[in-house]
Order: sequence, then C-alpha cells, then structure tokens
Amino acid sequence: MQAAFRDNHGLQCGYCTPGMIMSSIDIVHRHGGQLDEETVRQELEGNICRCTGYHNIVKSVARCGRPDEGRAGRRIAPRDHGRLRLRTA
Amino acid sequence: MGVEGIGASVVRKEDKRFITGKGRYVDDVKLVGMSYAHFVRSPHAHAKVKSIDSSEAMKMPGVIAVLTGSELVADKIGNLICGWAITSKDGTPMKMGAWPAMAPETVRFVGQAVAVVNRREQEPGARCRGIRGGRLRGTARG
Repeated sequence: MQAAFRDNHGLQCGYCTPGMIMSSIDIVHRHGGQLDEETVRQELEGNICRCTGYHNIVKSVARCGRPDEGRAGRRIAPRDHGRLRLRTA
Repeated sequence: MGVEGIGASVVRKEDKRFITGKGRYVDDVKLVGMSYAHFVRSPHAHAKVKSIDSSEAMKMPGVIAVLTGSELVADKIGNLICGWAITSKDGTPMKMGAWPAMAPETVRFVGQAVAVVNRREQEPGARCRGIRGGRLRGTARG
C-alpha cells in the first residue's frame, strides 16, 4: 500500500497519509480484488485530505486492491490477511 | 510520456518519510518554554463583541494570558498586512479597511478570531470549547 501511494502520487503534504494508508489496507483486506473506485470512495469517507488529493488516493487504493495490476498491487494481496508486514518503502 | 528526462514521472524524495509515518509537522515540534495559542472564534456570521470576560479562563491551570482584539488595537499592533497591495490607474493606493488579526468590535464571519488564550500546555479540544462557550459574550445583532 505504501508503494501504491508512492507510485500513484497518492500523497502531497503527507499529513493524512498514515491514516489513509492504514484505512486502505483494511479496505483491501475486507474487499480483496473486488475494489472499484466507488467502493474505495465510500470506504474512505471521513478521511480528510486538505490537499484534496482524493483522486490519486483512490487510484492508489484501487490499484493496490487488484493484485494483477502493477508491482505495487502484488504487495498486499487478500491472502496476506493476518500476516501483513508494512514495508518501509 | 518519456521514460527519462522531460516528461518522465519522477518519484518524490519526500514520499518515503510520509508513507512510513515519519513526517514531522509544526504540531510535532516541541521547544523549551513553548506555549500554545488557542483562538476563540466567533460562532456568528455578523455580530458585535460586547464584552469578553477572561477571568475564568485565566484561572485555568497553565494559562499565561488571554488577549483580545481590542487589546491588539490598544497596543498598536496594527493590522494584517496585505501581501499584494495594488494602485489605481492614477497611482493612488488601494483603499483598505482596517483588518486586525482579531476582531476588536465587529465579527464579520463565522470563525473569525476574537481572542487568544496563551497557555503552557496544549489542552484537548473539549476544554478549549468550554472557554469559547462560557466566557465570551458576543451577541448577534443582524
């Protein structure tokens, strides 16, 4: 997820990023590969980004939720649930 | 889009610290002898500030000072500076109304600062709201 945010310009000032990433990991775990943009937007409701970088945040999560798309996507597949290790980029 | 050079996507250098929770913001900065400013803001869109009673706020632990908009004026602190003042075609400077950092008499928007509480510790929001609701007497008058 961290790589997905980096690769998709999912952050600007970075202030909301820790919360966005933690929420997003949970979203991916619960929805697995079925994540579409609409679902991501609904699930992230309440996480405020004052840079208003929502578009790329949603893109980051949606790409991460589909393991077949891009290298970032493979890092947190649904099957990793329960033994997730956060990578420091 | 190019793979390198002009048009190439560049990975931002600052992203690593932000995505690993190592960002450092003003709120994270702790200095020796530091105190915190809590602004008391208007709940009204347009109102007269009739009086501000800071006596109870001053009794709260750690409070150093309660300063108001009228004190700003009395101390001749001056107004907020317009960063890009323009002139008319005939060269006369633009007309600017007085715009102090805190409203001395009249508030003109919800959230306009009317007073600031300076205290040693940063307090949770609930207690700051107590100061706002209980001690500031601002009356809406159209």
